[in-house]
Amino acid sequence: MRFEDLPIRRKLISIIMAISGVVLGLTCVSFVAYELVTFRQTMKDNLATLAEVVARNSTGALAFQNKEDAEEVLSALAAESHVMVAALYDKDGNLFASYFKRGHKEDLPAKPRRIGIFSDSESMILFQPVRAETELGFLYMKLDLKAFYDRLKLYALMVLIIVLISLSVAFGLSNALQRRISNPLSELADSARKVSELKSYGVRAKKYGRDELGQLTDAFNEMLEQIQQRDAALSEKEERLRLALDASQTGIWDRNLVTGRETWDSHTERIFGLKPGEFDGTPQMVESLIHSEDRPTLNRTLKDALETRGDFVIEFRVIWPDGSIRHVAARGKAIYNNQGVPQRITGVALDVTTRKNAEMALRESEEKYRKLSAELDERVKARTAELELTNNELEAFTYSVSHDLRAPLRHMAAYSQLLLEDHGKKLDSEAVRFLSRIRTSARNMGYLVDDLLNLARIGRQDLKREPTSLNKLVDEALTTLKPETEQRQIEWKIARLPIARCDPGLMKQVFVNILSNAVKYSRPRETAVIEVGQTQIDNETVIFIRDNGVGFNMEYSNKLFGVFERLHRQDEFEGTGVGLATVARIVGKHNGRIWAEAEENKGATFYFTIAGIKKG
Amino acid sequence: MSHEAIDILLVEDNPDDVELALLALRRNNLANQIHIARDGAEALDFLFCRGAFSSRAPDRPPRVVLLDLKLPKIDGMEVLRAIKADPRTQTVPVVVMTSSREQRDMVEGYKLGVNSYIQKPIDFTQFRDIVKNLGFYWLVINQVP
Repeated sequence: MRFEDLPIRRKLISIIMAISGVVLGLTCVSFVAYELVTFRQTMKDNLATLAEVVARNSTGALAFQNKEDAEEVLSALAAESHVMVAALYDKDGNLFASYFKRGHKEDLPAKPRRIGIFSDSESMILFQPVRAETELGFLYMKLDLKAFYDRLKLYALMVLIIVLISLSVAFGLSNALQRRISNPLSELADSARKVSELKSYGVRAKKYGRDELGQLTDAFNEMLEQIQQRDAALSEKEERLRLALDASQTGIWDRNLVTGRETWDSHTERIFGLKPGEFDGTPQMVESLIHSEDRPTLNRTLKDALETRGDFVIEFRVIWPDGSIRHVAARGKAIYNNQGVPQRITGVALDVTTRKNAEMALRESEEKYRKLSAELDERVKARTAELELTNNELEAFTYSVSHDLRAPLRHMAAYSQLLLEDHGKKLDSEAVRFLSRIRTSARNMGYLVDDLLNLARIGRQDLKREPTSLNKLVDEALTTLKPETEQRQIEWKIARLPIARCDPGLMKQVFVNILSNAVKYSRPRETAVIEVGQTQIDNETVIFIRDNGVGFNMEYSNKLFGVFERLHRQDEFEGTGVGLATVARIVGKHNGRIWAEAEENKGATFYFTIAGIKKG
Repeated sequence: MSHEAIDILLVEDNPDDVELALLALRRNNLANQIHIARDGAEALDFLFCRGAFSSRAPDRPPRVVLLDLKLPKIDGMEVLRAIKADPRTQTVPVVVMTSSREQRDMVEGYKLGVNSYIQKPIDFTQFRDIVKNLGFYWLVINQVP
């Protein structure tokens, strides 16, 4: 495993161990080296001192050639365990006395060699002259280096033990102390892993101190906090969007222009009649679902949108798997990369079948209505033309009636009168009676024609409404009726009447006709009482004309206002039967109503209303 | 044709109406000088002294024209229009005497400048009174330039 791949804690331990090992090793080696050099020097110094002592002590023996003394001196070296061999040579270089450590035997050098101390791997050799004013001989000593090596071994062992103990302690310490560093790091790493594994931004790393790791932890937690907030905001927005899309049943689609594949949400799938997950994302499937007649328009719209870089809105038909046709509205836009190359087209889709059907139904009904109204118009025009023709014919008829029908009646009345006047004396009484009957009949028929023409004229005539005092009209009517009232006893009770917006000429005819009837049918009364007034019925001003005449049977009141309808015999009360029909027509033209109440032999009351009467 | 001054020009196509009108005038001694035209064309010829009347003196117009409206050839309203449009005749009083009482005829007549408009009444006594009054008024009372 590479060092880089090691966990931090092992890295830390390795580094600490390596550093401690190197430092410890170097320290021990320098110490041991120093000790060994010092030791060797000490040995050398000791050897030199020892040799000096032995040399001094041997001067006598050598001077006197006392071999025994010499050997005695040398044998004192037995106390120095590491002196292996010692020998004394005389001044000529001949061996004089020797000493060997017990149990040790070796050949002595035949002659003293170079003066000084020398050492090889096993021993240290010394040649030193023995002097007492003059040179007396030479001392040879050989030290065993075993002690040195023993010490070396001891040192090595000690170093090893120290290093091992030190390293163990170092390991223990570093292991304990590295947690201070590695734990926050592991914690951070754990938190990061949790975040990425659980996708939860609620995780927080524990902070251990205020060092760089603490700062890192803070920064990490702060970052998580921000991400969490944004995540929450994003979720909320997504939720809202989802709600909006759900509520409006809006689908989202996204076409990747690079791969050619499309992504649909479940709403889009539903809009296209698919079950969730049924859409496979291929352009072929999209195409197969869209009505073949609408495909070219759809493709052209998408192409245009890409060229113009604009949004687009389009409606097209979709064929559901069950064969039914639905209308879909889609709206979308292209998304471009930094180089301006379109990457995706994305947008929304909505099922607008209901709206479309409603529109179609509306258009149909509008069309129907237009046709109907045109038809109606046509019919109205035709009917109007017909009516106009009829009207014209009617007018021509009444015109000719007034001239051609009236003239002969006039002539008959005139000639019969002239016959009576000029030749009455030549005729017997019966012939005179017959002639006067002819004259009366001709005259009556003439009046009838006049009344009918008047009635017809009212039908054709336009109203000329103006504010009119009804009292004034009553006065005028009474003037007109003067010939009929002159010889009569009539008590008039005329109340104050309102001002009305009406056609004065026609309204006068109303009063003339009704008052003339009142005068006529009250003829049997010695004193006729005729009342004209106003009353309020159902918040409406009603004009009434009451007489104390012969009245009529209410059973026949429905015939009262019909043309040619009479409730009295001609020989009782003369009349054409057109007067009240004329009155009813005039009141009708004023948007009013007319009715009557009567009792036989008690009198009659005529009521009428007209639009345009001011209250009061 | 008479070259004397004419008092009344009666324009009437119906012989009964002519007779009754003359009768009414005579009874009131008003039938002095009456000329009768039986249609509108004849009436205009007479008034403008042309055709059969070219020998008539144009400076002596009738003192009143009694004009029926429903006439053969040229109807009464056209005759009225011609009389009132021509400077020679426009001062001649014209009285329309007709059987009808059509509002439009009355309105048009007055617009054209008729001097009086009378509906012939059914009753002969009334008719006679009207004719008498008319003659008296236009021939005796009324002054013309």
